[in-house]
Amino acid sequence: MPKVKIKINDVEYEVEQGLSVLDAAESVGIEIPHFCAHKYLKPAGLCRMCLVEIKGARKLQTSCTTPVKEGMEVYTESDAVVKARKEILELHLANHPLDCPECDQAGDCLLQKYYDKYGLYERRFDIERTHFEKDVILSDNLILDRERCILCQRCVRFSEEILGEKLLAVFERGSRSYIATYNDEKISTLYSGNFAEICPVGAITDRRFRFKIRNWFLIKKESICPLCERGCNIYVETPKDRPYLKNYERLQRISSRDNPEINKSFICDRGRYDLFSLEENRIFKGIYEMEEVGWQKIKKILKEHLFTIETVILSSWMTNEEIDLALSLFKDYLNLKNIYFWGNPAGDEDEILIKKDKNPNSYYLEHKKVKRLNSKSKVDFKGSTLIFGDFFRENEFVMKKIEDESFVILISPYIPSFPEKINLLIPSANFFEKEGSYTNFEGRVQKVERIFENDKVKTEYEILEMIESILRKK
Amino acid sequence: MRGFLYFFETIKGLLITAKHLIVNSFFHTLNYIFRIKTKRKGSVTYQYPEEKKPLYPRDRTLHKMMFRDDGKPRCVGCMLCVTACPSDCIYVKAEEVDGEKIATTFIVNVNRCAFCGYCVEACPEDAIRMDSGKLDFVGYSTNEMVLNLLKRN
Ligand code: SF4
Ligand code: SF4
Ligand code: SF4
Ligand code: SF4
Ligand code: FES
Repeated sequence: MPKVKIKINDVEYEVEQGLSVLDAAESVGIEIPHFCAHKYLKPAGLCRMCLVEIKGARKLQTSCTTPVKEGMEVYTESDAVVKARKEILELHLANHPLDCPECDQAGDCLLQKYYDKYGLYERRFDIERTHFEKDVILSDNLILDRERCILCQRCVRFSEEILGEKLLAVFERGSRSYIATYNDEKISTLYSGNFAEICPVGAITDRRFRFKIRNWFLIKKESICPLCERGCNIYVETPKDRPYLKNYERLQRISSRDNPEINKSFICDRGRYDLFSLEENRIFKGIYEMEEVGWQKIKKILKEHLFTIETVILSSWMTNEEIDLALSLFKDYLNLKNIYFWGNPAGDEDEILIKKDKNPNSYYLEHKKVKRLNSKSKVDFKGSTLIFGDFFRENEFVMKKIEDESFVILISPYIPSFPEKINLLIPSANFFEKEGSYTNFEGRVQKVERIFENDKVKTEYEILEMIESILRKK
Repeated sequence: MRGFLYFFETIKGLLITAKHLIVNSFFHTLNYIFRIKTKRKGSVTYQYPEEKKPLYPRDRTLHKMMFRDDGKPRCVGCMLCVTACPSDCIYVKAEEVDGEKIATTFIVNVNRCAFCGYCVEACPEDAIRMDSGKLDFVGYSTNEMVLNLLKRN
């Protein structure tokens, strides 16, 4: 990209050509207040919040729609700009309700943030505020408060530009304008959660997060979504560690994390809402022949059965590191022939984000030449079988093939779906409790942090290390 | 020299005590025995717990929740008190009740409370107050000092 030289607040910077003044300023770390501009949407110039002074121009210019030019001189905090910002904010707030105490956006709200900095504080209008409906159900996940809307049309543009469907529009004119769906139909898209996230104020909010907790109590931890091959970047939001906040559930919200190469700043509703199911049906105790066992006992039982292992089924929810360790043990050290992997069955796909394979790490296993288990695979479960992950329900044929005399060891974070067939269950950490890296469908390796601590269970890596210590000692 | 000062100060202290004793007994005798009303009352011991010292209106005492006419708590679960509290005493959970945000759990852990009154200051709904007049709350275990403010009694 060719560069141009511009001056912002009397300091010279080199920025990419073709950027808007707003993006150029942001690329050098100068924030210009804005509502309607969004990194991944086309500029619209609707909210007028981004006004800046440009030397030579007669009036203040909207920085989101003005491209940078060589030698441009921009002032973002001059008296005229600050005055204009105050007045624009005054107009935006003329009909805005004082809902902040119970508004789910408070804390993340751009209106709040800028008012804090550029507010006029004294109300100069003596007219009655216009009132709108405050709880319009937009879909199963979304609720719209028309009074809080600042008509930035990010939602409208998101549906048109990113989803390619016209789902929402502005109706009426002037101060009576409001956002609505056509014919008041409910929004049905797999990307609905993004509307709540893209709205700069608390107009569209998430019904599943409604009133749960204030967002300044949450810490965002970086992770990726494991529900399809794409590996969208997400934040897992969990309450801060304060003594009394322990009473809140540890998983409060999933939100998107910006990654221009993978998911931009959007994620699908599966990642946003279905990830909560990873927290359910957990098991924290080992089970041996229908009885609870502790870690000491598990180790003893493993010692008896590990040396007769004939089949290993890996899971495509294991991290790269876990797969490497497992392969070095079972393939290189024990020379087993029957190593397969399994996972959730393939599903739908679309052009936006959703990919066919519904597991995070199938690519890496295929890259390592592990065969995918399917009904045609020639497996017989004779000696001991070591299985990672519980995907019996999705692969029913495995159930029929398991012979009664074979010893099945299952390593899974969840209550087993067919407990009668499992001889030993080793409880493992779920996706949020382990760290490592995953490889997405295009071979991109992404690191995942451990989000929650849980000392009742071990991660698959720790269990593999335990197995290694048993195998190599003999 | 220092020893001399010590005795001097001791005698001064004794004189102050004696002055208070005599002045208080004088007014007390006037008020209660001769029944002569004077502006100044002699200070005497309160017979606690039968008799309680009057509280001033701005004294901070045990928290109480305010309720609306329809019986719902005034608290909208904004958690500003939780945010303001320096000792992490308050635990609030809100839910949607008839389209409104209403607190469904409101717990104050008095064990931790510093009686600073910040929670009262922070509340935009005047839902939590510290004017219940209760100062003599006791319990056999710390669990008894964790109060559910939504329980009306
Ligand atoms: S949208 Fe922002 S300013 Fe408006 S009520 Fe919500 S938090 Fe407050
Ligand atoms: S609902 Fe939100 S995103 Fe849509 S126009 Fe209103 S403020 Fe903007
Ligand atoms: S009085 Fe102070 S310490 Fe006690 S609950 Fe209120 S804010 Fe917390
Ligand atoms: S008591 Fe007041 S400050 Fe605390 S959550 Fe309720 S409304 Fe908010
Ligand atoms: S951000 Fe430029 S006009 Fe809204």
